[in-house]
Amino acid sequence: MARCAFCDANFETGPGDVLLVCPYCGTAQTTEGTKFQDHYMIRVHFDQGEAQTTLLDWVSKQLGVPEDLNVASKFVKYQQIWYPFWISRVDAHTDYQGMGRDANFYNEWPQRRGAYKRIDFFWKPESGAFTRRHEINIAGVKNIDADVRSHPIPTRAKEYFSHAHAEEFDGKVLHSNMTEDQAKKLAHQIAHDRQTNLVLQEVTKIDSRQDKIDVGETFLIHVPVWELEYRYGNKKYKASVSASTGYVIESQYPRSMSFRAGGIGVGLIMLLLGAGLIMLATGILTDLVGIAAMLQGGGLISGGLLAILGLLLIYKGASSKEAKENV
Amino acid sequence: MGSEAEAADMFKCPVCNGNVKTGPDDVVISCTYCGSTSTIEGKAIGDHLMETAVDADERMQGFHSFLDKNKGMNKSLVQGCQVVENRLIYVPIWTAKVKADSYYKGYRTVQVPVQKTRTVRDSDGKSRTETYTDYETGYEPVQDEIHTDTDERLLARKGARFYGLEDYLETINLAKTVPYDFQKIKDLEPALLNAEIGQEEFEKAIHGRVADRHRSQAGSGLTELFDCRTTTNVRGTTYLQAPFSLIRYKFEGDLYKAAIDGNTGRVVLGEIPITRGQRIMWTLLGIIGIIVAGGGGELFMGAGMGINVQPDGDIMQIVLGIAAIIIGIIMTFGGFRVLIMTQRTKKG
Repeated sequence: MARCAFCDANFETGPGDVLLVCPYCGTAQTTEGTKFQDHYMIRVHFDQGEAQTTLLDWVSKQLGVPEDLNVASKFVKYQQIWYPFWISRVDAHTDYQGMGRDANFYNEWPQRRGAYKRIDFFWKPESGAFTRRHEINIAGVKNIDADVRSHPIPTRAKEYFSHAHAEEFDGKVLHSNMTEDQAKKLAHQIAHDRQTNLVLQEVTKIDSRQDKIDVGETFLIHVPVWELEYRYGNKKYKASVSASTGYVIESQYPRSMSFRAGGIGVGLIMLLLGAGLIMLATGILTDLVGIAAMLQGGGLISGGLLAILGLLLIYKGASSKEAKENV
Repeated sequence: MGSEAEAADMFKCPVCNGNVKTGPDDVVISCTYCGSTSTIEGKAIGDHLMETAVDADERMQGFHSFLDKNKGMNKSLVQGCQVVENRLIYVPIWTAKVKADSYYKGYRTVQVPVQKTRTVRDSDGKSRTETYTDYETGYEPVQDEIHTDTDERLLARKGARFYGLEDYLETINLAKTVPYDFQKIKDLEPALLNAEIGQEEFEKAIHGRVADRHRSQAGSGLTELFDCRTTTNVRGTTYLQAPFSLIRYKFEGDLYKAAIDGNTGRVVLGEIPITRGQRIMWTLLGIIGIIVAGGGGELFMGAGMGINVQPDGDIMQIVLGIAAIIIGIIMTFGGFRVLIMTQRTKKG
């Protein structure tokens, strides 16, 4: 439980929540009650109905999805979750000194000018500098789905966080597990690591380096995502849809019985046919049933192809996968 | 849908004095009333360009011709598609000429053919020497330079991505741009996106991008890249507002999308549905492929084992056999790949 420093209301917080958003007045604040200014959001452009229609229309084109999905599926859960992300811009400049690899070449091949028989590596001191600007995006909550974590924050304009807007769709605004200082520290660390990777492309051993890492503007942005669950037949399927762009971040989906049966059945037939052809070609059948080896070339190749495709179809028929929309 | 945010920033347009609602991070702003574009400090952006846009009908035409070109045997695609979204957005883009010079050093390994001799014993027990070709490793030092002078573009929005973005940026032709004139595009009711990335920031970002590209180009084909130094020179930075539209369409109840270049109305990247009929056709092709490959195998083995060959026919037969095997395998995998694909992605 926390008490809002601005409207005095009590509200729920989870363990680890350090940057809180009051569900009554919408003020972002630290646990000590300091107001946090740089708090933004992306506006919702797809309401619940639109998000659900978009999801079903999109999912229904996936492989083997039953044709009556649009009419027969029922949404059992729909919640708009506002995920917090920290976005920092980091200017980094690294001067480095270190040892880089180089090589001498000996004994030219007479058969090929310019190529040598022996290579001798040696270390030589190198120095240089890398200047980069990094944009670093850190999820503000720990238990976040990897796909939601990496979905692109939409191109739509961001705005100051409006609690009224989130409330319009009964959105649940997640508190951030991270304070601004922690986010900046992490951004600093990530930028430092990226610079290290750049330097390590030039030198193998870093002797000394001077980093000027300047974590600039850092802000908190809440991004709305519809977390949906629908029932088709006896099973439930989960999906996440971006509430601002309508992109399907990820979705589980049903496969029709006829698709599964077809995939496994046809796959099995192909696998058997393939195996039969291979046995025929290699002459195994000669010992068993007395058929002489025949179709030696064609049997092996066609049989092999049939067997591979058969296995693939069986796998497709039996597997269930999540689908993601490419952006 | 949606209420006004209480705390939206207001920007006073220095030209018409209108109040423009802006995003918190916008640094270059186009006035929603008069269209004039200035920095957040109120300075007009010099030499600022735009691409003109075509109206929704022409975009639809471009979209339909894209479908028509890619419909394959699905004759009903153009009539059967139902467009649910087709909105014009002007996206902010920074462009510049970037001259980059890299010097790099590394080595690659090559296979050097070496003639060798060996003694062999033939079936009669006599020994003789024969020469053969062996391959040995050679190390080839590489020292080279890369010089490029390219047009670079960057979407002036932070962390943003949209469908078809890379292909769209490629299509922008600077020769076709005109000085920015809001009156020309006003009637199309475009959504104007403001820039979140300023000029100085763009120039920094683009240096890193070109340098990284040079490094990967230098490193490709090398066993090890010892050194790579790049200097860049960015010039002629221009702010450009470019029209883009995302079309979402439904076909037989399923949802697909296509990215449209708003300047020409042509599709840059789009998804094409695969109908049941097409899947069946491709599967048939795959099955034919299996038979072709099998036939090729028979020819090949037949020639190799000396069964029913005419004199001198066997080289021909082996070549034909191998060709049939390769074609058959390609047909098989090509055909069955379409069977299990969700949709096809086509460039315009």
